[in-house]
Amino acid sequence: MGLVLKTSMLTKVYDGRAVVNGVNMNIQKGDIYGFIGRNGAGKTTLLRMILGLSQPTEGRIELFDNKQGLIESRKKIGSLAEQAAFYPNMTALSNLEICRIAFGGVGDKNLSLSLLRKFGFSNAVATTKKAGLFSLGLRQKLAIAIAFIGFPEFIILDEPINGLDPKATIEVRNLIKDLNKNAGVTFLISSHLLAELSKLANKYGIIEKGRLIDEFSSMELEERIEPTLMIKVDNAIRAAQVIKDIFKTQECKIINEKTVEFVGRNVTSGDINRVLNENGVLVEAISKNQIDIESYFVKVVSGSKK
Amino acid sequence: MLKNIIDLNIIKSDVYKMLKMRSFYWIAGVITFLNLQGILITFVLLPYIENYNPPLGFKYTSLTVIILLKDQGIINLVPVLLTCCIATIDFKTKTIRNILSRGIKRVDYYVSKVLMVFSVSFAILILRWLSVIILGSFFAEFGTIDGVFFVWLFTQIFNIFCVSCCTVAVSMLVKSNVSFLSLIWTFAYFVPIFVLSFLEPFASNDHGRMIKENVQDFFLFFLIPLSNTDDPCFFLKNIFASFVWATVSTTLGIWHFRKKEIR
Repeated sequence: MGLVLKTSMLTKVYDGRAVVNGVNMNIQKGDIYGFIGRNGAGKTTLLRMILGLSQPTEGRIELFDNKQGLIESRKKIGSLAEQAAFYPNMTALSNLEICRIAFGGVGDKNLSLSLLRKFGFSNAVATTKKAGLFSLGLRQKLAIAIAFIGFPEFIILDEPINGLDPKATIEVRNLIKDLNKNAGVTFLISSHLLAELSKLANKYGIIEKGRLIDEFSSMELEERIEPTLMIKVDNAIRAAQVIKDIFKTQECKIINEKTVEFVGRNVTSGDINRVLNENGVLVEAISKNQIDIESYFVKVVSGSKK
Repeated sequence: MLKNIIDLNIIKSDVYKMLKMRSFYWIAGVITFLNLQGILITFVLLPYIENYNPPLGFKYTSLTVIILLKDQGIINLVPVLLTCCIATIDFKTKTIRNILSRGIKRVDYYVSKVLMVFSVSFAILILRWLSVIILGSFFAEFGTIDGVFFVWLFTQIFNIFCVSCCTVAVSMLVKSNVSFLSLIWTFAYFVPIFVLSFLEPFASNDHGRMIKENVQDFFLFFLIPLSNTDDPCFFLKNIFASFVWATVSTTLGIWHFRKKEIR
């Protein structure tokens, strides 16, 4: 599969300060790339350079293996960058139609209407209510619909789930998965909601102070994050002491008087249960925590400060 | 080559946008009122057409009476200004981001805006002329048309195009990012037009009249009515001034727009 996006030493300097510094990013066709970083890390600046809204100071951007040149390739990109942008005195349908015509006029009004229905717009809301009167959630959905118009092959979404209710979040998530699986659309999604992102992305990039400090797939993430066991016992202090003595580890934390957290590779729940029982500790329950991208992100970012 | 720098999709989407905007119909009403005012004043003058001394040996007929239309400069400017406001609304609503991020070249976008503003303004001009010609046919014959009239027609259409270029340039300079350059050029373009053209007392003495005429020659290229001049070089000066202003404005506008960050 070819590369949809490749950046080489991409840099942006404002007033002598490198806001994006030497970023080398690679996104394969079919990826859902989760782009993570703290506020002010340089995420939006990088996305703006990819979309041509800002000129890089240094470096190179290649889209779709550079077969057609940068400007022609951008015709195949849909995006929601920064805040939602639309004409407030027009309806959702008119907004979408203006974009559809400007982007080449593929399809007709029914295409715009069906896209709005997929995002939960009723006919009445889509055709009569002015976009300026929409709630935050509806505005965000309209902006995402604009990104999807025209059958793009690569969609860039900057904080797409902000302001969406749970039902809308699920609708957007399902639409992304559907387009990725059935139409092969590649996604680059920047979001602070890491739990939601972890349900979608198969690849991640972490940016901190303008530098891409880590890039990994979801499978690599599982290898990097050690599994955590939460053990409910009758005596947490005794249980922690036993685990530290038997497994020769300090990575055992007392959560409360009845719960212990243990990080350990190659140790099964059965081993833990047997060892604790042999040492007089009653085990009530053992559960394995899901791979936690949030804690990994915090660990990586904290490590990069040193 | 022209096809490579015009994006017809942008023009189509702008026309669709314009027809969906309520403010467009208000603007159309204002322009219709201004046109009617000019036509009615001309209608009052038409019965006395034989009393007028046309310049440059020209002859007035029901076709050529459009030259008599009052305040053509200001009335030509109004549709350009108002259409330009609609054409550049993308900056206010930030929808310019949606368009430019889809691989639409900035030069194509710019040129399409100029063409859109010119097309709408030219259509309004043609409507006004046709109305006067039809009215004029009740008072005079069509007669024969000589070369001076065609030169005047070309000058008017060329001026509308140049005014469209300048107005779009100023609009882009200011809206894409306010800078020292954009402020200076906006000042240079608008102040002479509005201040000097309405400052009648300025031209009450010889000195003031001389300054006003010199400024008009070089700045107010589109406000000089033919009926006020017997200068045989009038058309050349008019076209030259228009061309210089349009070229400099467009060059500045495109250069500024291409390098500016879109926020």
